Amino acid sequence: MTLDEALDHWRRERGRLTDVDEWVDAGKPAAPPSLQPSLAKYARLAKPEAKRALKALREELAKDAFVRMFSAFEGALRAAFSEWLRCRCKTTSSSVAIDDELPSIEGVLRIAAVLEPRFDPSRAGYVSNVREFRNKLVHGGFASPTPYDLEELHRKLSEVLTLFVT
Amino acid sequence: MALREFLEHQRAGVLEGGPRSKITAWKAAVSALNARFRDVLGKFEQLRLIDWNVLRDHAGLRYNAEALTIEFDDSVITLEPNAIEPDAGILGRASLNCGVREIHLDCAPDGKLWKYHRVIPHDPASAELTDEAIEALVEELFKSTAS
Repeated sequence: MTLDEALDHWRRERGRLTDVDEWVDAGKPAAPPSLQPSLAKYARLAKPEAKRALKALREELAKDAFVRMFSAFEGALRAAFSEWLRCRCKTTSSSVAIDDELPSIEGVLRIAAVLEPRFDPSRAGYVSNVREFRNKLVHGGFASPTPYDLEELHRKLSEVLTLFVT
Repeated sequence: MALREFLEHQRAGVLEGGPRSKITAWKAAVSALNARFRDVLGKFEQLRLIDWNVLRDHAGLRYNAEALTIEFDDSVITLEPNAIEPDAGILGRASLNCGVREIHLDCAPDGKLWKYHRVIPHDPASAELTDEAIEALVEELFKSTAS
């Protein structure tokens, strides 16, 4: 999944949740049969409980979308940075071979920040914070809401990728 | 005596910079934000304001921060702190939620100036969180749930 596809996925999920939320707010009118399976859970709940369940689901889907987005960014950055290095070094080695020898994403970010001045401390610090939050979510399971606006996250990560497009 | 020394040492650490001082500054900013919401909304007797606490962490340190629930009939808005410095140039970010709707509130490094922008439905336009804006946002969120 690419960064753009991850954002599209989040937009679809967000739109679906908004539709269900509005359906709850509208007093749960009769829904088309095709929608009834996805609304069944909320149809059984009183409005406050349905809203709380939707909020909890939104937070989970946002975390899921966040992890997908960072994973897509990580793959795209490694590929772009490998090609960027290959061109800078004027080597005959393939970018895939370079990618195989690169360290983990934390190391890639550090090397990239040293070699590319446009990947400045502000941008590098932002990506580093995003990476730390991803690790917290994936490994720590700590129950914090995602602090990122995923549209904004997509924009900023895309900006970083463009720095290494050759 | 050992506990007293430990606590004093920890308190001294707050003044030396680093994660603990950021947590202290952020907790103070969140507390002041909640107080503003209570001041602005407290005059509306139809609203029920409920204080609570959430456990968060920053750089591996866990901390308690204040949160606030605003209730009107069966509609609920929550105001809670999200994270310290998720973006460069801000002290921290809180969020205002009602169902799936979400608004981010960003605090400047001075701990006083807050700005907001809508996340769901998405609108990247940012504006200062004035007292008038607090009323307008709460009205907007409650209106969205009016059946």
